[in-house]
Amino acid sequence: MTTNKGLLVVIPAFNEEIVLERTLTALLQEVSVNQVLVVNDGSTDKTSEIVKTKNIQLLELPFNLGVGAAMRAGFQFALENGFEKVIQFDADLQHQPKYIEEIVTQLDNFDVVVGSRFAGKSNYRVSFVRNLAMGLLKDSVSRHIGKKMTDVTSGFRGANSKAIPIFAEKYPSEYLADTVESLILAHDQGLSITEIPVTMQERQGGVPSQNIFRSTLYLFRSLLVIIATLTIRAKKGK
Amino acid sequence: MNNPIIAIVMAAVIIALVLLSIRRGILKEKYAILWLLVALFSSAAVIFPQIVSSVANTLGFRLPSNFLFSIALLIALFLTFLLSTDISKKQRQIENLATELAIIKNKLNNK
Repeated sequence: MTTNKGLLVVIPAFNEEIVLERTLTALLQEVSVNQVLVVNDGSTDKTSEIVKTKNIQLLELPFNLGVGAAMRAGFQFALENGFEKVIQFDADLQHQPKYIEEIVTQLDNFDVVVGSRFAGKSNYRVSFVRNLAMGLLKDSVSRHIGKKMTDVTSGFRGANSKAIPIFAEKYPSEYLADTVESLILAHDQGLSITEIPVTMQERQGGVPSQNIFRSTLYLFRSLLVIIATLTIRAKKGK
Repeated sequence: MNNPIIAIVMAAVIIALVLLSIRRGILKEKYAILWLLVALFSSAAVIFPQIVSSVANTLGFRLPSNFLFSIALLIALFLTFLLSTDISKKQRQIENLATELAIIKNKLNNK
């Protein structure tokens, strides 16, 4: 059990009633009950009820806003309640609670810590198109922040007390941009970023988002994100 | 169009529609001004076609109608773009309200 005071694990959840119970149970073996916040992103199922039975903190968004906006709400909550470290955690238990401790430790030295699925020990595989998109994204981001990143779209990440107020105000809400753009934002705001290798678990339920059509769409959105955020922000930074 | 009456009537209808919408409070002045300008310019173009012809000539359009179509298209594009940026801004504001509401609700439940 991690005893880190001031840690808040934020779980954005959109219609996750099937897996949430198991995720929370697994998570609570690692952190205590008042260190978890579920942001119900406009679910129409029993997501909120499950959270309430566990006596876990809950934010209920009135309608679906996307992961980025849900995280922004989480950061605002952390800021208002004096939490010093925030870890974003997936509701479908793809992320493994055992890495939380390492992220927390790294947050003493770095402002933003990303759990990378591709750094070293992982066997995480994605489709060709998605792989291409992810490659483009990570190269662009790596060049921009001047540090080799292996996984810029990972949703398993942490932020410390220097990063929390910035993310609470500006965390991007557009799909895909939330992960990639937030790293650019962090860098441009003078935050330090690092990665730790993590392995993913198979999804425990819910609908996976991988078919050729969506992957292609993903590629196009990636290009758009690169063009929009990187070129413009790079100029602003100079 | 040799007979400007139809066009003038259309412009008048647009102006009436805009004014009525302002009175009912369903149209913000910002957009009202834009639509009024569109209506005024199009009726001016109908009443004084020679101006349109000479401007079209100077700009190198063979037919004045082509010139008018281009202008109309540009204005329509500009207006839709303006609406897109406005919607994006509103989206952001709605998000902020929603997150704030969620946090306030959480506070109330904890009391």
